[in-house]
Amino acid sequence: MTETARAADFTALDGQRFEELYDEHWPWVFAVCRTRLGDHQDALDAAQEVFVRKWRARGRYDPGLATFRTWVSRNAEHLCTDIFRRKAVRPTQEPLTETLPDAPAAGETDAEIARRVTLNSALDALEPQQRQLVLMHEVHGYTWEEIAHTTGLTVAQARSAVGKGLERLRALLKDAGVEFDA
Amino acid sequence: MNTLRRLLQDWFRDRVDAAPAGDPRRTRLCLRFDELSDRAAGTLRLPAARQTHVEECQWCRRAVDHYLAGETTPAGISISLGAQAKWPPELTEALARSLRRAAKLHTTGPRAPAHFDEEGSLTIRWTGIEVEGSVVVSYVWQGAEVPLARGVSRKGVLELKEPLPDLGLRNLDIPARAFRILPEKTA
Repeated sequence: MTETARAADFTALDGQRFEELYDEHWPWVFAVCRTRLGDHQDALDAAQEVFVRKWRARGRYDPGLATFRTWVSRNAEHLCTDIFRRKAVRPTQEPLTETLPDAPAAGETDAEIARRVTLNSALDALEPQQRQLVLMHEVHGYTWEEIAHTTGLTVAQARSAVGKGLERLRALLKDAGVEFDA
Repeated sequence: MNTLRRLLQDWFRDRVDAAPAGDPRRTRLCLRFDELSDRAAGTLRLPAARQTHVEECQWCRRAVDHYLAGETTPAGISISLGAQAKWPPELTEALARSLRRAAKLHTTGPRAPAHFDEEGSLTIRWTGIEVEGSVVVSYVWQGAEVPLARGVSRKGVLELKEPLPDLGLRNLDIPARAFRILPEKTA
């Protein structure tokens, strides 16, 4: 069954269906929160809050407008932005490498491992909200308007922050010898 | 094309793969989402083992806190001191409900210093109140302070000067952190 079809049952959403969707999407939501907030415990707490919020709001979910993953991911971004504001963007407490697998993935070459580790360090070097904006745009494909709506920034501010973040990432990766296409 | 965007997308996929399969704090005894409302209202009946777990479990307590955080003061209601007699019924009911939850959710920890007696009067047993003079006693509700009554604090003893509206609460202990005592601002 497709996610949309499964989530369609969601309007009547009983607890069992929600628990199933929670089990399926929790790792994704945790990864979103972890890569934004940096702190492992904060990410656990934030992921929990996202699902509790969505449980309360389940009557407003429209699977015709967004997949369940998109719906919870947007809420995770909102929440992380709120947390940045509440904590005045405190520095990352743990390196982002903390939850990455120690062992190389199957077939992963030495060059790929080195590139992954370097990328972790480069992302660690960004300010938390700048990292959030870069990831929202580059990884998750949010439009500038969606980023502005989610974070409370203007489109110009979001563009500027992402541009500077990418510029810094490119410089750090270049210094580390990581090759990529422009 | 091995672009920076592609590198970042691969990096994030690694993060998802590296994430735990589920919240390591949540166990089979923990609250289910469809139990949160009743737990928050204090009406959830559970077998003894689960009841004990739910009262002590960090995940369960945080889940209820997050659930309650979604509740808001009834819309369109503003509260001012001295106008308690005019509080609309929905506010009085919501406040009483919230105080009951606060009492039920905090069965562990420091003993409650505030108590509604059998006549519905609130007695606050704080000692060592540092504020001297006229004060305002507020209830902390969803992060906002709802002023309940004026009082006078002298040498660490608080005397309430205004009776509260009858909230229908009897013989109920409320945790200290639900209340805040601050000097009354003068115009």
